[in-house]
Amino acid sequence: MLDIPSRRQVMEEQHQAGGRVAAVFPIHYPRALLQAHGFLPIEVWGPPGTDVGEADAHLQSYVCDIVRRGLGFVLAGGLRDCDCLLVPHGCDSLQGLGSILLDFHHPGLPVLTFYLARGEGPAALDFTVAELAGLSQALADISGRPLDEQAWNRHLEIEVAAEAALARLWRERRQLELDNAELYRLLRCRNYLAADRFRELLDKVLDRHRGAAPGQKAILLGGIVAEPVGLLEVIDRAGGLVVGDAGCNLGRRLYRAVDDEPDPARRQARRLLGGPPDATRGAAPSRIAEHLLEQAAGSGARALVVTNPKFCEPELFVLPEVTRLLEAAGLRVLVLELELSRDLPAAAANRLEAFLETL
Amino acid sequence: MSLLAKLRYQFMVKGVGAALLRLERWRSARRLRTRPPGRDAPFGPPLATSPWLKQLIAGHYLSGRYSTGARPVAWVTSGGPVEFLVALGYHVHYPENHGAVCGIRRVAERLCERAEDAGYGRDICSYARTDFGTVLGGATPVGRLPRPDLLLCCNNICQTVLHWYRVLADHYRVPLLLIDTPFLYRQAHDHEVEYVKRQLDQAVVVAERVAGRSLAPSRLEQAARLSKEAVELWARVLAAARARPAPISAFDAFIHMAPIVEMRGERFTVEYYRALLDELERRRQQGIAAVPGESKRLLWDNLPIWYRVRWLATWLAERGVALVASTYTHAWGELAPLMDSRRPLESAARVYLHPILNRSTGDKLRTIQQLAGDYSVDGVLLHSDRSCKPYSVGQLDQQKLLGRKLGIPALVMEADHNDPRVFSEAQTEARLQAFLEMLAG
Ligand code: SF4
Ligand code: SF4
Repeated sequence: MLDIPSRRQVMEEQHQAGGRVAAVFPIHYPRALLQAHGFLPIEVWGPPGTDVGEADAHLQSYVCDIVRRGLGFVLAGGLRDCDCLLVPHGCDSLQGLGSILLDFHHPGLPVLTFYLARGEGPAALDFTVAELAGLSQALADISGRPLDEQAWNRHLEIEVAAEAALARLWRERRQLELDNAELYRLLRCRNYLAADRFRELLDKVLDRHRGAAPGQKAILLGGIVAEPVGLLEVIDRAGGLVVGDAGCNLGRRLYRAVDDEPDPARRQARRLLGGPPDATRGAAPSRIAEHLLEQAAGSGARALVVTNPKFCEPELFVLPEVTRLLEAAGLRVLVLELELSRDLPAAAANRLEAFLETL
Repeated sequence: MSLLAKLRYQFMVKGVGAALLRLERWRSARRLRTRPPGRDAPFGPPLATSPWLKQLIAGHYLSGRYSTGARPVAWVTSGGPVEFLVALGYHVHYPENHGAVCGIRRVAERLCERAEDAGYGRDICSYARTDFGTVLGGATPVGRLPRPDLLLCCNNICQTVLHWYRVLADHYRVPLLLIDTPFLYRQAHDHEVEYVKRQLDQAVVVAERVAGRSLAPSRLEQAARLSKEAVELWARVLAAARARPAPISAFDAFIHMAPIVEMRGERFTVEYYRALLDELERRRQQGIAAVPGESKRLLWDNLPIWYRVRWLATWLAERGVALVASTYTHAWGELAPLMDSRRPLESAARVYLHPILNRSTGDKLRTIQQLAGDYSVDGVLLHSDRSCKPYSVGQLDQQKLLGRKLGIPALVMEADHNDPRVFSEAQTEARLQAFLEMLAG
C-alpha cells in the first residue's frame, strides 16, 4: 500500500503551519492563485457516500449527485474546518448551487465564485484576468494579506511541474506495478494535496514501483470522475489497465504550461482557458473526440470507459457524437451512469466486465 | 444566395403566402366576431388580435421555409441579441420557439424519442431533444425548417444552449457565434459588461461576412429602437393584467409572447403589440375578464407546460382562478429600461447580461415577490421543470421563503415543459386541488 496522507491529515497540517483551507467545488479554478494567498484548495467532488437527506429538501431529484452530495456535505457541517468555499461555474447545476449557497444557505464561511469564460480570444482572456483579480481581492479580504505576485508565479511553476510529473506517470504507466485501484488512490490526492507534495509523491512512486503493470487491456477512463472506488477494482479483476485519464477530475485539468508569459494573472488565465477540450467548458463534440483519439493513440488505449453521475447534461450532450466518432475510428466506448456511492452496482460491474472481456 | 431562391421567396412569401395569410386572418376575425357570447366558457371572449398573431407566426415560419438560398438564416437562442442580425437581413429561427410549437401541437414527444434513438438521453432539456429530433428528420407542424448559415448562442439563459449549439454546429458545419454572458451572482461588474460588448463587436464582423454585407449603423439603430418599443409595449401588455378582473391571463401571454421572442426589431411586431394593448385597455374599461368570475389570482414561475397549457388553463378557470402573471413572460419586458437604441451594442451588452435566468436565485425570489405585489396574487405556482435546471434549482428554497418570510403561499409542481412522459395529470390535479383549498382558507 502506498503511504498517502489523508484529507484530514493534510488539512490539519495546513492549519498547524498557519495556512488556510479553501473548500472548492468542481471543476476549473486557479489553484495557484489560491495557494499564493495561503489557501490550500481541498476539492469537494460529492463526496461519495455523503448523506443527501438534507440536500433533498433544497434540490430537486433531477440534479446530479456531485451537486446534491456536495450540498449535503455543506449542510452537514463538512466544511467546519475550512476558511472559505469556492464554487467555480462548471454547469447549470453548479451555478444553481453557488447561487443558493450565497443567497439562501449562508453556510457560515465566505462563499466565492469564479466564472470560467466559455468564449475564446483576447476578450475571454481579458475577462478572465479581471475575474481572477476579483477573486484575488476576495481572498485578500479573507486573509487580510495582499497578494504576493512572486508567490503566484512560484505556485504556477509548481503546478506546471506537478502536471508534468502526472503526464510522465501516464507515459510510464506500463512500467508501474501499481494496480488501477492503487493508482487512483494516489491520483485522487491531487484533489487535496499541495502541488509540490503531490509531485514528490508521484516522483517517489515512479522511482520505487517499477515493474510490469498488472493489467493488459489498455483503456482510457473518461467522464466526470472515476467513482465509485469499486469501479477500479472491477477493472483490475477483469485485466484492464488504465493508461490514460480523460476525466474532469484529472485528465481535463492537465493545462498547458504557458511558460512564455511573465505576468502571473495572464499566465493563469491562459492556462485555464487553454485546457484540454471538455464538455463542461462547452467544447464541441468533434474537438473532444479528436483529443480523445490523440490520447488513445499516444497511450495505446483500445477503449474508453466513461463514468458520469446521472443528470450530467454537459456530458449527455456530447457523448452520442463523441461515441460515434470514436467508434468509427476503431476505439470502443462504454458509458456508465453511476451514483457516487462506495460500491459499483452489480449491473454496472457486469457490463464493465463484459465490455473488458471483448477487448 | 441564388437569384432563383430569391424570386421564389418573393413570390411564395411576400406574394401568394402573404395574401393567403391575410385572407385567413380576415376569416378568423370574422368567425370570432360572430361567435355566440359564452361559447368560450370558462374563459372570457377570445382576444380579437389572436388572428393577427396567427398570421405573424405562420408568416414567420413561411418566411423560414423559403429563406434557404434567398436570405441568410441564423438560428438563435431565445435570449440572444438579435437586433444586428435583423439589421443585416437575416431570417432568424428560434429552435426553442419551434420546440414550444411542437409541444403545444403534441408532437414534441415523438421528436424527443427520435433524438433519444440517436443517443441523446432523456435527462437533457426537452427543447434540445425536440430540436435534435427535427434536425434528424422528424416531421414538424411548421413544415420545414430553414438550414442555418450561422448559429448564434447566448448562454444568458443556461449553459445547456451552448452544448446544444455545439452539436448543431458540428452537424451543420456552420459558424457558431457564442455570446458568453457570465452568470450574475451579484450585480454586473464592468469587466462582465465589457466582455459581452467585445463579443458582440466580434459577432457583428462574422455575421457580416456570412451575410455578405455590412451592417449599416442606421439600420441597427432602427432595429434596436423597434426592439425597445416592442419590449416596452410587451411590458405594458403584461401590466394590463394588474387590473381586477385581469383582461388577459398569463396563459394568453404564453401564446402572445411569440413575436417578442422571435420577431424583435421588426415594425410589424410593434404594431401588433400596440393593437393588443389597445384591445386590453378596451377590455379593462368594459370589465371583460380573461376568467369570468375571477376569485383567485396566481403567479406562474418557469416555462409553461406546453402540452397541457389548455388543460391547466381550463382546470383553473373552471374554479375561478386566473393566472395573471409569470416570471417567464415578464422576462421579455422587464429589461426595457436598459435598452438604448442610440448606443445599440453597448446597451445590448448590459441588456443581454440581465435576463432573469442569468441572475441569482435570490434575485429571482425578489422578482417573484415584486410581481406578487404588483399583480395582487393570492399564491404562486412554481413549475419545477425537470428539463430546465437553471430555472428550477432554487425553487424549493424560494417556496419556503415565500411562505415563511413573505406570507405568499407557493406550490411546487413537478413537470417538464416539453416532455409529457414525466407529467402526471392526476398528481398535478390533486396537488392543485389541495393548494386551492388551502388558499380558500
Ligand atoms: S456532474 Fe455534470 S451536472 Fe454535475 S456538477 Fe459535474 S458537470 Fe455539473
Ligand atoms: S428550457 Fe431551460 S435548459 Fe432548456 S434551453 Fe431553455 S433555459 Fe435552457
